[in-house]
Amino acid sequence: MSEASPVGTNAIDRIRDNPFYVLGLRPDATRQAIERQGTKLLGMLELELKSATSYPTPVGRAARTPEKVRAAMAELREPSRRLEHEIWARLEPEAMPAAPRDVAPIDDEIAPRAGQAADPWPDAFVALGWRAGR
Amino acid sequence: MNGAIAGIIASILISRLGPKNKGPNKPNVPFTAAVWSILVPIGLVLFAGVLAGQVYLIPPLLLIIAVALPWTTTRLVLIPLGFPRVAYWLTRTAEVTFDGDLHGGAVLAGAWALLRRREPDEATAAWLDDRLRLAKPQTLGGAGILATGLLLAGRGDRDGARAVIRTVIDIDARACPEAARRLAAAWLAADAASRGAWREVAEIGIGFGSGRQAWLLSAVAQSLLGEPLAPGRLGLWLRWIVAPNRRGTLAIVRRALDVLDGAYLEIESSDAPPAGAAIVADDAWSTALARHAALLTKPIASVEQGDLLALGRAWDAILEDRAAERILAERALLIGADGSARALTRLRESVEGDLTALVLGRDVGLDDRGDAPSPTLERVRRRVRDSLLVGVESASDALRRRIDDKREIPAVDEWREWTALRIAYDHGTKLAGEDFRRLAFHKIHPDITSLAVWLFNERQQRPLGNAMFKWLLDEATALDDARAIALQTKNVACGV
Repeated sequence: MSEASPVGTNAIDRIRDNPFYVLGLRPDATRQAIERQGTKLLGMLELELKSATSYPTPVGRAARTPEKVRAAMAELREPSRRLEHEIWARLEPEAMPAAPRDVAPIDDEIAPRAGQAADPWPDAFVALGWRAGR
Repeated sequence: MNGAIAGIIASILISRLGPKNKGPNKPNVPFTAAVWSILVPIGLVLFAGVLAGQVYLIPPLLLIIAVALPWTTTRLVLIPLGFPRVAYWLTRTAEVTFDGDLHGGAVLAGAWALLRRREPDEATAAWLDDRLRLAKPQTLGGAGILATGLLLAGRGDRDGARAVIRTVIDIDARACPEAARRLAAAWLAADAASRGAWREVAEIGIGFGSGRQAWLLSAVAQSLLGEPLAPGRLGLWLRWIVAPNRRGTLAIVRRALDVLDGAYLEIESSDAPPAGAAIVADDAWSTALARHAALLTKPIASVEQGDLLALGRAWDAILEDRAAERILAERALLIGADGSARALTRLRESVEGDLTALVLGRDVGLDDRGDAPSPTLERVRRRVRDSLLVGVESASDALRRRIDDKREIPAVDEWREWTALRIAYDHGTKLAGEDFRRLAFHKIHPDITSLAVWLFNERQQRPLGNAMFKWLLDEATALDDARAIALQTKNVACGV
């Protein structure tokens, strides 16, 4: 889990891998609730129950693994770390409209749209005599 | 036949032995003058012979036509057929077209012909590269710079090619043949069109002076963008008829005509997500977090300055409010954490780090001249500024050391190094604003001045030095730096 140090880690990962979202809990969950939920999820993942293999976040659904669940439980046992995670988990996982399916990290390019007047003209170099056609 | 050969020999001798024109405004065309005064009359005689049925005179006649009209022959025959070396040598005689940068024009012809080959040919590309880096220094002009860009494009470095070709217009007209200027505009327009940057295409081809191809594409771009002053159907057809490559451009002209006919009018789809419904939040924390998550997942091209401003203000409502500290302190007490200060500090660092990465990664500028600045965004802008300043300063330092050590590199590489530094400077100014511009200029002004003086005084690269002086003068004027203005005004006045 990339939550060890929020500063400098991928911003989307910080939200997606927030321990509260991983465990499917809200920030006001008690310690007992966290332990109970973690154990329950580990059991469900052991049995490969489909309902436990993913979870919603404000940046789209993410895959849940036993490692993520264990790391989330460990993070939330430390009060100072928990306080930091609580801040980022204040947003309801479903409070955002569904993120685009191909939600991309910062560096990815937008996919070209089809049928728009201002779409790129990929054959420009060939059509204008700068390159040989195929 | 013998007459033709004698004519060629005579014209070569005249071009070798004839007076060299050194004046900046006089055309330097000794070879062309010889060809037209000796070979063309011979060609007319041969033409008469061909008309009389002496077909064996056709080859020498074609040779004379090629030598008399070297650029036309190169452009219509050698470049489309992909003969880079022949294109290079024939264009070496195109004194009229490439007056001011004949050598660069020849490499340009070769590089273009190389681009037209279906298979890459690194040996020829290297040979052309060597022509630009001859042991005997040649003055680099606009055509040579365009040739450098085309060679980069041929090697697949489109970004590098674009960066270099954009600088062709910086070269003084006396060292930048009109043909090179127009071809640079045409290449840049084609490049922008292939990326879908139609706004750029529209600007590149404004006015007939930018060349027929760029002029046509500008009209197409204006139509595709639905601009009110876009030329109508007649205007588009007129430009299409005037421009070269009519068969190739017909498809894009038709697309523009379809736009004028309303074929691309947007119809609201019920499947489309409602615009502006992205943020559902009932308090400052949720608003900031929701905006933060929304911006992180937004596609690159659609992130705008307004989005950053809205997010910055949303975070201001938390980070600049003592109530947030109190809420966190209460919560820390409840769960047994050491204190809230560390959590708040890390939150601030995370927010500013994310926004800095957004600005740098998505190339969104932060305007530092806004009426109501956001403290959060101001801190982000300083981070962006510092990060970009490091790059510019280290590049400028490296340049300074090389100048001090008198370590020369070929003029074309000097120009590329300067272009890279300038791109970093422009990029920083765009993202971090006037503050960056002032600090960076203070650093690079003496270094670039030294480079330009070195190129101008000692290395026969007066056009390059002059272009740098002009850029420095423009920047000094924009920043109102009186001493730099005085110095660069004097330097620019030295001409090319």
